[in-house]
Amino acid sequence: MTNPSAPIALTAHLALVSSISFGGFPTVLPDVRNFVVTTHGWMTNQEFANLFAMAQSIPGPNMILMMSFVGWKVWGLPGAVASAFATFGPPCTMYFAAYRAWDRFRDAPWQRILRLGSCDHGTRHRQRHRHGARSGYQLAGCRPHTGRRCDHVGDPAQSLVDAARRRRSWWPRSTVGGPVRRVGVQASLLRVRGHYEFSLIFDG
Amino acid sequence: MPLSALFTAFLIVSLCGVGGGGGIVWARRIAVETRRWISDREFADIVSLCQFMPGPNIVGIAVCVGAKMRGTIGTMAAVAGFLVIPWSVGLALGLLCLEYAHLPVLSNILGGIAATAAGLLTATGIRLLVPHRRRPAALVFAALAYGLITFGGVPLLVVLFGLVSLSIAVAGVENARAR
Repeated sequence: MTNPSAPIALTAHLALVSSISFGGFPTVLPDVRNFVVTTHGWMTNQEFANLFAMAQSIPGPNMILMMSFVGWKVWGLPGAVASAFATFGPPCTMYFAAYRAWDRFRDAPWQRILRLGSCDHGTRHRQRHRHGARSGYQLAGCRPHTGRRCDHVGDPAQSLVDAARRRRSWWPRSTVGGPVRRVGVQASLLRVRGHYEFSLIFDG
Repeated sequence: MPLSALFTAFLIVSLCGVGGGGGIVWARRIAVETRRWISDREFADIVSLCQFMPGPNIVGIAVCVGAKMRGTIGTMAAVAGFLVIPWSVGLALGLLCLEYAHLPVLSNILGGIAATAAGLLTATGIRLLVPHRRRPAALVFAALAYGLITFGGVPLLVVLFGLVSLSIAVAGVENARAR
C-alpha cells in the first residue's frame, strides 16, 4: 500500500508459489499467509481468514479469487487482476506445454505403454484388449473383477504394429515391413520385465 | 466446433464446482458425456497429467480440452470461459461482502465458514497421510514440513525442495533395504 514495489513483490511471489503448488493451490496457502501477514503486514490474520472463507463460499475458481482479494487489498483493481494472472498463468503455461508434448508423442511406444498402465475393468476391458487375447497374449497381471486398479501394461508389440500401421510421422513409410517385426520381438521380450516395472510405478 | 461452445461449457463447469473437487466431475460430465468432445480414456489421461503438475487441476483440464479441440485459441476460450465471468462476479460479490465485514453477523458467518473450510483442508491432509501411517519416516517428514512452515516461518520453496529431496532419498534407501 505504502511501498510502490508492493504489488510487484506480491505478483512475483504468487507467480513463484503457483508454479510449485503441487496438489493444488491450498498447499501453498500457509506460505502466502506468511508472506502477506507476517512478512509484509498487508493485512491481519483475521482478514486473511475472512478472505479464505469468502473465496470458499463463492462458486468458481476460489483460490484465484482469494488471491485477487489479496491483490485488491494491496493495489486495488490492477492488483487484483495481476494476482489472478500470477495465480493461474504459470500453471496454465505448464499445462499447455505438457499437453502439447504429450499429444505430439501420442503414438510413441513409451507413451502407449504408460497409457495402458491403467485401464478400466468390466466388459470394456475385455474389448479393449481383445487383440491381445486373440494373438495368444496372456493378460498377465489383469485382475478384472477385483475392483482394483489394474496394473496391466498391455501388449507393446501389438501397439507398435498398430502405430506403424497408422503411419504416423515418427515412423518412416518405407520401412513398415521389416523393422516392425524386429522391434515387435524386442518389445515382446520387454513386456515380461516391463509388466513388473510399470506395475511398481502405478501401484505406488 | 465454435469457440463459444468451449467458453460456455467451461463457464458451466466453473459455476457448478463449488469448493473445488466437484469440478472434475462436472468437467467429465460435460466434456465426455454431454458434448462428447473427448473419450473417457483421454479424459483420464488429461486428469492424471494435470494431477502430476502444480496448479489448479480443473483449469488444467480446461487448458487440455481447449488445446485438443482448437489449439492455442481453444485453450484461451476454455480458460476465459472458466475464469472471466465467475471471477468478475465473485470479485464484485466478495468486495461488497468485505465492505460490511465489520458487522457482527457477517463476521460470525465468515468465521464459521473459515473454520469449516480449514477443517476440510486439514481432513484432506490427514486422509493423504493415512496410507503412510506405518512408515515412521513419512510421519517425521510430514511433521517437519508442518512445523517449519507453521512455526518456523521458513519459505515454502526451501521447505519443499529441501524436504522433497531428503524424503525421496530416504524412501530410496528404505526400498533398497526392503529388497
